[in-house]
Amino acid sequence: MEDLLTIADSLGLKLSPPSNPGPIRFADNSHDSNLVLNLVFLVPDNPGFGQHTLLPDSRKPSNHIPLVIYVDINNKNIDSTIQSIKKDSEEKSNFINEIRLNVKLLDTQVITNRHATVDQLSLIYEKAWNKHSKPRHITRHSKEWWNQECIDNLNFYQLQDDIAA
Amino acid sequence: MNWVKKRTLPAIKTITYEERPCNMLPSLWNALYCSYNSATNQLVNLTIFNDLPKCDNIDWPPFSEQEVRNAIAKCSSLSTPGPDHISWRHLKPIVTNNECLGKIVTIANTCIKYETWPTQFKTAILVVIPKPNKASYNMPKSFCPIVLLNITGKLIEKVINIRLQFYMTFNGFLNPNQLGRIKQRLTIDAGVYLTHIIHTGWLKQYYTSVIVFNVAQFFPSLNHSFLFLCLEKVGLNPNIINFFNSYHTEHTTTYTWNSFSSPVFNTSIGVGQGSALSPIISVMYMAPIIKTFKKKLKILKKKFLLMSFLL
Repeated sequence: MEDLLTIADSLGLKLSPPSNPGPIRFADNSHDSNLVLNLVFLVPDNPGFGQHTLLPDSRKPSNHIPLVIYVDINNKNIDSTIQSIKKDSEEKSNFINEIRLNVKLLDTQVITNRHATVDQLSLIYEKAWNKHSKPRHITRHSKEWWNQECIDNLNFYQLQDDIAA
Repeated sequence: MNWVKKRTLPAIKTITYEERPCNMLPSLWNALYCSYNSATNQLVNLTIFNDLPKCDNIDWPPFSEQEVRNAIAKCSSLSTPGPDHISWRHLKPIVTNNECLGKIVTIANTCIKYETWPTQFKTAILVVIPKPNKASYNMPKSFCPIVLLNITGKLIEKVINIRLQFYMTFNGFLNPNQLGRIKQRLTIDAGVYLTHIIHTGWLKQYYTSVIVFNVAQFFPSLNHSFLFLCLEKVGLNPNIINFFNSYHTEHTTTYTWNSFSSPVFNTSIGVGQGSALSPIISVMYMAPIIKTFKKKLKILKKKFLLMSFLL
């Protein structure tokens, strides 16, 4: 245990006690005693330090009890947005048309600087991309097969059945 | 893990480099950079070129529109785009327009004329792909580094690749037993050939032995001084050699890990896996080694068959 605490310490982590201390593994028989296996390590200034809760009434047939901790997840922590152009969409056609039009106008005859034409070409791509790409959230439902029907069904399911309950 | 389908990074333990876990992003970037550039500043013996004859000079006429059309025809529309966000799926309809195609051909010919490879084409994003069937994924070497480059540069590289393949096969610079990544010399042919040799040996009641060497981290370790001497021996004119000199210098790479990106790193060694020219440059790199090895083996007065292949 001391080794574990030393390793955690080297990573800047401390053992975080639960808000309601108690055993988390219940013995299978009456001869053995219940065990306290509480190994939650956190950065000491984390708002969740010492805040996790044991839920002994929710263990059901398991001999381990669940732990609950609230983690603040927001855009500042995880940026799940990307710029993209959808396949076979109108925005893709507009994107290609704009590049095609501007590449046609690219001046390759008067080359004053060896990289000037490539600079212009990069600018054409960049401008077209910035104009036609849209921000999209990456979620577990970002797969190609995930469509409006799936969204509707998921919404219906969530209204019908409170998962947390 | 399936090698041919889209792969997400596996659930892994912390990446470890030099027996220290990379707990912070800067240490992860350092681990990736050092692992994939480990051959930097390694000395290379260039004396093998002393006895190597130079092949006949090669003419390098300007690129034609048909060459570019041929090069783009077989590109996969599914490949991941580079820093410019343009994929083959986007570029293919653009080059079907003859005016646009003409502009790209002019850019390609200008690069050769001015002996330069523009900075925009040297800017790469490096992604790592887990190698299949590894016992653990806690080291950078368990991952394959793939560079993503700007699309126009990749297209020009493809055209140059086709030319180099043709020239080096035609003038005999490549050994006939160099297989893989060359037209009509597939890696699978190496397996068929090897099996044939072994079976022939058995029929003649010879004792047949196979010695196999695997060159780890081959692409990222290619020495550029060695490459220039190769290019001279191939018979390319100074104009093209100077172009390749520019092609191999001042590359910059941004490493990515899931949604995180590293600062820009300068890279001065190797060729990027994912660049269209890397396979042919790697094959070219092996040619003088095979020739020298073959010469040395003659002294032993035994029957040897040398073969090399790229996966």
